[in-house]
Amino acid sequence: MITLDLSDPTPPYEQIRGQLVGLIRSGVLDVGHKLPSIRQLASDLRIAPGTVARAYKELEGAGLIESSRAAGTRVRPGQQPDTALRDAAQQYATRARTNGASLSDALSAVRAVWEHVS
Amino acid sequence: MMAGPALMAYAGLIVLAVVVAWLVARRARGARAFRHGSEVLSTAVRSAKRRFIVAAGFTAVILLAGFVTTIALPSALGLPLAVAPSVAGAAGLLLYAITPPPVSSVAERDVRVASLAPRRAWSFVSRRALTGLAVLLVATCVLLILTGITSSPDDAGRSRAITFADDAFMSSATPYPGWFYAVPLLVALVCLAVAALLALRRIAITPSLPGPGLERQDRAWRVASTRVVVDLVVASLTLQLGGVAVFAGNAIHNAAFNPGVPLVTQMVGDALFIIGIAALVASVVWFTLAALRAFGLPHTVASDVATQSTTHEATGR
Repeated sequence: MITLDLSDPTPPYEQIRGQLVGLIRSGVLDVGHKLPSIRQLASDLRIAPGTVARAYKELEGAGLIESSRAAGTRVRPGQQPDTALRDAAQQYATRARTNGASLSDALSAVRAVWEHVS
Repeated sequence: MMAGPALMAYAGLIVLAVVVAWLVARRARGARAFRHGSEVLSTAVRSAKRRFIVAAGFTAVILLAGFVTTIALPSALGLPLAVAPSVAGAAGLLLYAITPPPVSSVAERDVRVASLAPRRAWSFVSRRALTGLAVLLVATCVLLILTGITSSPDDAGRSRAITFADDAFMSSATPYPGWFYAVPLLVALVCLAVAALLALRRIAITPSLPGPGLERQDRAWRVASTRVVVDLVVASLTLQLGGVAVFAGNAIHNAAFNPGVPLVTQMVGDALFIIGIAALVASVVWFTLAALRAFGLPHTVASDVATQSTTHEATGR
């Protein structure tokens, strides 16, 4: 599923792109997974097709998806997550939630130490 | 001589089936409809039901037009009535496909949700139904090609008779679904297949119900609507197949009623006639099912959603 919040200051195409990046990198969308057509996603989200097209174009530019007239838009191989990194993230997220931290708090904690890690 | 009253009786059966379907659906609606639904789902389903009823009415009008044209134009040799099932089915489904569904509006501040699963025309058709449709379509086409190949010209040179002949005798019967009927019927079948695809595509490309938590409801109305389309196509195909088989069987039986013709030919004619009658009865059953499901669409969707919710709660998934 993909969600779109128009009250969010993040532009709609960026919300779509960001969620798809997350779903692909986390392995939720497997290699070869076929994405809905631009028209379907745009009509379901009640936005202009150009917005979805822009998100897809950026994902294609980043090498995460590939589009062809015959096969549609699919997730490209080689985008799967680093298993060790995912396990570490899982442990950190579990610990953060146990301690009552929100997603925002957890991400802030990572950002705070990010620059100090060599 | 018997064809007219038999067809009238057949049409009467269909009308009776629709009336019974309406009465049953009216009883079934009542308090149970949309206990588990929502306003947006209710709007979507009632719109689909309305469009199905308009499409079914249009189908009935075209069928009637085929019947009236056949009586008014004897020179057409029953061709309007022969193509009526497929043409009427195609017309009704096309009307459904081109009628736009209502677009449920979303407040600017509401969170919008969309599935990442592509929806195609056949996404909501069961494998069994898809196989059944393909078998029926192929069987009708094969029968038409076979009757076309085995046909012979009538007195006016039109390919609508069947003839058995050797040095000692010649026996011929008409009307037989030769190329005179088979070519328009094959074209009508292609139109029916295209119209069915467009109607299924309309169901698939209709925007999903807005907002989170409506995924099951969204799928339920699409699956129920797809069932109605499939039932209508099966009804049209079996009506077409039955009509062709009955006329082919009858003509073969009459032409083969001659000492020089092998008995097996008569048996083929009789078998085709029986298959045709069975297909005609099946078309009444499927038309009734289509009507039941179209008239009772809100109730069916509400029940499906309730069943899915129960399963969801029981399995925790």
